[in-house]
Amino acid sequence: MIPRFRRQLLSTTVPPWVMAGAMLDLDFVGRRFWQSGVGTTPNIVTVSRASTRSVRSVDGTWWQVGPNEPGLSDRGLMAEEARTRQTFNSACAGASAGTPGVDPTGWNLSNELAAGISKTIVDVSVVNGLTMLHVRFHGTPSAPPIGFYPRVSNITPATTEGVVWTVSAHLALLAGSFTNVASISYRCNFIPATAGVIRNIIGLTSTLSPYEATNTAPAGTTGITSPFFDIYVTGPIDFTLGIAATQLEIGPIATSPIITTDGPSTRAMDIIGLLIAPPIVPAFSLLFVGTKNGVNNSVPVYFSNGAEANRIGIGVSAANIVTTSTKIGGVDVSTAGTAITAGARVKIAIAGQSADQVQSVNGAAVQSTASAWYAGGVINRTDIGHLLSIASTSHNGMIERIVMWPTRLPDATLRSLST
Amino acid sequence: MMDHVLRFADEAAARAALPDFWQEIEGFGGGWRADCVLADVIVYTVTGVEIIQTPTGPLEVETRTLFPGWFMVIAQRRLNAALRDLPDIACRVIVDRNAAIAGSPDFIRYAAPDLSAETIATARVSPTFAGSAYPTGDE
Repeated sequence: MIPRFRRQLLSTTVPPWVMAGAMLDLDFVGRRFWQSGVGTTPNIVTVSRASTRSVRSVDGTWWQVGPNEPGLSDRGLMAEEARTRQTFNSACAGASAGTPGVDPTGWNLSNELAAGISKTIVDVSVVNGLTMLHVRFHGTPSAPPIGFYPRVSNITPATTEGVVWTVSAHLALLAGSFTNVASISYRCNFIPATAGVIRNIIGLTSTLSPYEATNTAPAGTTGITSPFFDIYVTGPIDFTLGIAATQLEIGPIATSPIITTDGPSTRAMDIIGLLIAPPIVPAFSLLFVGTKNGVNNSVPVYFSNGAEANRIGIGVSAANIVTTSTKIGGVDVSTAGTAITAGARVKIAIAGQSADQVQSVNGAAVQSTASAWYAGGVINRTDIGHLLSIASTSHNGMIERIVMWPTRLPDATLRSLST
Repeated sequence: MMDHVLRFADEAAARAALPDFWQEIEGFGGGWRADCVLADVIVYTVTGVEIIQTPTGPLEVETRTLFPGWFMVIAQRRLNAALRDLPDIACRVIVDRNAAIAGSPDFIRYAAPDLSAETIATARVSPTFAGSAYPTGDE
């Protein structure tokens, strides 16, 4: 069990892990937080999220945290948008081993099972914190070549043209081989079209690993099937699949598993903030270290007055361009942008003071723009990993570290910090 | 957590009644607070099952009767009296998530006066917040 933020001894001395000269150092990976004038503190980060969520550690282990608890692990702090898992029973509840065994409630792993092929629930175990079903398919089909379609849910959501869907699961080939398996995919089909959201899994390994696929509903779509395996065989087969954390969600990437015994179930958005006033006047510097996933707008760190007209922070566009995303009195005075790669670790250093605003991304040369600066007291809110509370602007990734200085650091220092 | 199930004529009426839970952001459009709001949920009772044909075989699906109106769920740390007392008995039910998880029969903290015991016992809400487990209102 990974502990939550824990109260630590207050200290007036600066711990050696705190970056030199910082007034605020939030090390989410190390789960240690320091504030000038206060010392080591656990309580300046707040999280609002009305649901449970899954959290993953560096070693790949998942666990659940309760509502309003931070998604904190040795990878950092998770920040994701709201997503609804449109399938039933990702926890594999109700399953038991046997011949043929009992499928998880709401699943039908014997769907359209080809004559001559048997299905057996070999085991139900917990791997990497996820309940994994071991299901064996074996036998000689009586009329090859032939396909069969084991289902992992029983919900058929309505949908329309243009909606982006992502299907995902953690899968493994636990025993046997895909000999005589001409093709095997994990997929959903759009209704009535035959196109689908399809992930070829012929290359499955023995290690339980995440797989996902994304596609956009074509013209005429009225619904989408629950996830299933599309298995096409040409002769005798014998293989055992490991299946865990099945998920179907609206959006361009698979987010963390939403594990429940029912469904559809929604993981609410992580609204992360600071209890303290944003210390950005009359000057500041900020370092952000983290990873952004996906293709939506992201706001790793954002200081505002709760609206749009006055703000400064770090913005990452849907095209993964980093800017300071600054508006003064409603006028956009952001810096020019620097491209980053989705899913890759990024270091961003920004700084601002009167008529001076700069950023450096991943060690790149500093970009600057002149701007007016705030009158004191305008900015009173800090958001981390999101823009206010709008779901589409979540960071959808990890936040490793946020450090702030009460001065405008030199360009060379900013570039060094982002390297 | 307290889940407040609310009913309005449509989403516009909900926005008018709940300005604190809706945000407009220039360049990003608007939306309900995504940390605590489930918008446009369905509330229904199950009336049976039917078999539908799909390209990958028949599928047994529930047949449902939907309750009329536009529904949403707002989760709060505590019972929100302002939500409970919205006009037109918009608040249909307030349920205590922790009490339900603990198996307490008293997890219903408020029910609109026009709701029958049978409706409360059989109505389902979809989707629900992950981590909730209501013996009646959950799917």
